[in-house]
Amino acid sequence: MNPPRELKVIDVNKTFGGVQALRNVNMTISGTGITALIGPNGAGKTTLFNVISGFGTPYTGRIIFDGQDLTGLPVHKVARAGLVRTFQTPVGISSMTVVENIALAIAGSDLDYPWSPFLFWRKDRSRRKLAHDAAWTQLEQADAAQLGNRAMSDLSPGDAKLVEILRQLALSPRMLLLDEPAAAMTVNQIDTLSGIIRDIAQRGVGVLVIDHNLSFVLELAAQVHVLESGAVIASGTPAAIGNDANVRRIYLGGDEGTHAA
Amino acid sequence: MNNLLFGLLTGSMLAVATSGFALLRNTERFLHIAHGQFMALGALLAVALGETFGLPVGIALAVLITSAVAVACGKLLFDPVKHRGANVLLFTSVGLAFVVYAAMIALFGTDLRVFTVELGAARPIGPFDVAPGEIVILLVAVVVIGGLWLLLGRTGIGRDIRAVASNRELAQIRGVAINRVSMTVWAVAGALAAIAGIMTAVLSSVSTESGWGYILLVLAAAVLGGTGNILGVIAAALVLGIVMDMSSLVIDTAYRPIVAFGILIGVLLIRPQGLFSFQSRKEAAA
Amino acid sequence: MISIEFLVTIATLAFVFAMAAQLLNLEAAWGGMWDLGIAGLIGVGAYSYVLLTSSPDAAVPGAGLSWPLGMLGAGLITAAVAALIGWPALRLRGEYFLITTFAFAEILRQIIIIRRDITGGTFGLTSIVKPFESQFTIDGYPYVRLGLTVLLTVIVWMVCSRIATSSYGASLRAARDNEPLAMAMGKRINVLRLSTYATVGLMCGLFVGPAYSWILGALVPSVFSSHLTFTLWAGLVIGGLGSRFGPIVGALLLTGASELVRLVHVPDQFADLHAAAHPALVGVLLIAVLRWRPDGLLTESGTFARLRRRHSRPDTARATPVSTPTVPRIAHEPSA
Repeated sequence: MNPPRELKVIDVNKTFGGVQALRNVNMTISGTGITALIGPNGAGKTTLFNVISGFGTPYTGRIIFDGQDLTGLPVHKVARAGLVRTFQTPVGISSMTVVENIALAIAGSDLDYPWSPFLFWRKDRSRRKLAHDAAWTQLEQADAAQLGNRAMSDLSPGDAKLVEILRQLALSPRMLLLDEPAAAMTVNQIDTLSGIIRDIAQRGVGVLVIDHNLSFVLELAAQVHVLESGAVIASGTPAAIGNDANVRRIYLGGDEGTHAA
Repeated sequence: MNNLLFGLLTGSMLAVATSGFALLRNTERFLHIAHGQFMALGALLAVALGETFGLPVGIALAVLITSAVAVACGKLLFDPVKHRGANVLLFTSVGLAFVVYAAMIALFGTDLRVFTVELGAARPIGPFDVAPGEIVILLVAVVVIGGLWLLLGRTGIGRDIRAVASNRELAQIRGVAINRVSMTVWAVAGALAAIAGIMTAVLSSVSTESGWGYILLVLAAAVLGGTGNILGVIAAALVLGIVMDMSSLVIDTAYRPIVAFGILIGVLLIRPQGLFSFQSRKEAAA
Repeated sequence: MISIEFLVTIATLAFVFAMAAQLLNLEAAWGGMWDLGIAGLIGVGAYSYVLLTSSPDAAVPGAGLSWPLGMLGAGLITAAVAALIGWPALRLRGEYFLITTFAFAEILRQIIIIRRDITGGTFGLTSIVKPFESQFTIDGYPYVRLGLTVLLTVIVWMVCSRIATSSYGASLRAARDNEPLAMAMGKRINVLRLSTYATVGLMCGLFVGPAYSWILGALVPSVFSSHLTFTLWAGLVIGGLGSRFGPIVGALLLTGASELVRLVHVPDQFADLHAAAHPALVGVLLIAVLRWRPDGLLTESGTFARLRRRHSRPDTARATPVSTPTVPRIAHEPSA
């Protein structure tokens, strides 16, 4: 059995507009199970997320995924390496319906050339049909078939988040990076969301989550990393983190960020 | 050395024109393609009216009329579609450019027009050979731009204009009279276009076709100057004018426009936000 | 008296513009690239074609190739020029891309004027090789030319339509709608956009340029000015950005209306008014459409809704109208 597909963040430093956003960040994120990245506002979670997914380059340091050095690679190459992220505001592709959004992800990018519609028309047509059918299947399995023909702008926030995750999942990632998936969700929606994330992890896709909602995140994750002012101040299981003196200091009384909107 | 003078002249005409364009871009937030046509309109009006009423009156009337037409267009054409976004405004301006172009053809015919005004004989002043007319033009440019600077910096309406330019929504909330700002900006831009057009026509000539060429240079200077304050745009226009004319020392004058656009493209590739703006590179380029 | 020949010539011109408007639609509406330099590409196509097909003995010597080879050569040359321009230009966004393409087109036009030894400068090229010309009478040929132009327009339509419905087209539109997301889905934005721009160049050189040269008496650089670019944009906006038929409808309507206005015979003292009628009509139509029907006569969402109905599940709910950026933001105020 191959070693688990780990995501290694090694000695990453990044400055942002004069501020040191990340200081010597080191962490190893397991390729299986759910890992959480938490920290107060401005701790650098989003910056680290962006660096990992290719939306920013570290000043120093490396990002290694499954043995492959992804540092400084453009976003599309990181995505193609299997490291897929979601976006906090799930706008999606606005000119396409929900099912078309998902089908776009399933169809892949090998026919994205101007000659493809001419030299490979049959292949293109059957690919699109297959992707379309597969997209409907995905929606049905997620109990969301009624959303299929809707416009992206026509979705409730909770549904939009769901579609966002389903679509990025349809890219067959090896690790999924979830950017604030629980933001602006009701308690019920968060329950459903947790279920979905657990399913994803069970299918063998590693998950890295950043979110402000502590109870959601601590309940879900097997491993937690805590950032403060750009540095990792604690790493461990949710229980260990809960007892960590530094963490308690930040989350005085544990009520910062535990609200669900 | 005279090339430097020509460059200054070209640059100052371009500066006057582009500051009006930039004013519109910063407050009304779209690219007013028809600005080039307004320049030609002002020039042609001045020539025609100058023949009837004498040059000074002709010029004054031309500037006033162009300014008034600009305000009317702003109110009747652009305000009603403002909520539709910058692109609708851009293409409305394209439509207006065609209409103004048509109006000029109808009124003035398609011949080349020249001002019957003597620039005077060139006399050596320092390292330059200057004609008195050219000095007048430079002075006009300085006065006009100075006046604009004073308007923006020292008057109440100028302060309002700057407020709208930096943050329109906030200015509206703060109670700034947006409509008055809008009308003033249109009037000033129209006047500046006319003046710049007249300056160009005095130095060379003008025809109904000229507008299409003017807008190219104005766009170039505006983009080079960046979306900061008007000063950047003025500086960019001067730089453009000087480089264009100095380049004819080294290469054929026919290549002048190519030099101008080559500079534009070159600068954009190195510094996509323009020469003098404070925007971050990320916002302008991929 | 409206002569049939005149109508045929207008119709031919209208179809040339319809071809060009479709290509503009492809890159601007579906690709999100607001190109103000299309006249430059058409000019390169036209000049390449004429220079490749002119006889070596002509006043301005050419390569003497047959017209099909000339079209092919023009296509390749224009595609190469487009790739050369696009590669730096596409690194810029929004109004910066706009002005760069604008600048490039003007540079191309100036080069044509300056290198009069190759291009005939402002006097232009007059010996233009037209397909099948020798096989028809002078009276009959305009019809052949019209038929050929219509055929080419249909071919361009088929190419653009095929692109629109393909995976390539979907990826292109995704890049237009949400660039960071498209990247995060593994799409190579640069390749998508540059290849589209080069394809537009290819078709300008293969079809539009040659077809335009066939109806011009002489090929002069002033034809390929910003005036042409804006006229094509007007036709596109009026017909409807992003729809498959809109560009054709818009171009035909605009050219037809503005040229037919010229038919009205006026006494000489109104000659200026006469010349003014064409641009006046273009301007008024454009302003009116933007005011009262800003999406154009036909819309992108309409086009894709119709295409969508072929694929959607019959048993699920009816599709709700999808928001399409039919007059898409070009990030005039650069934003994320």
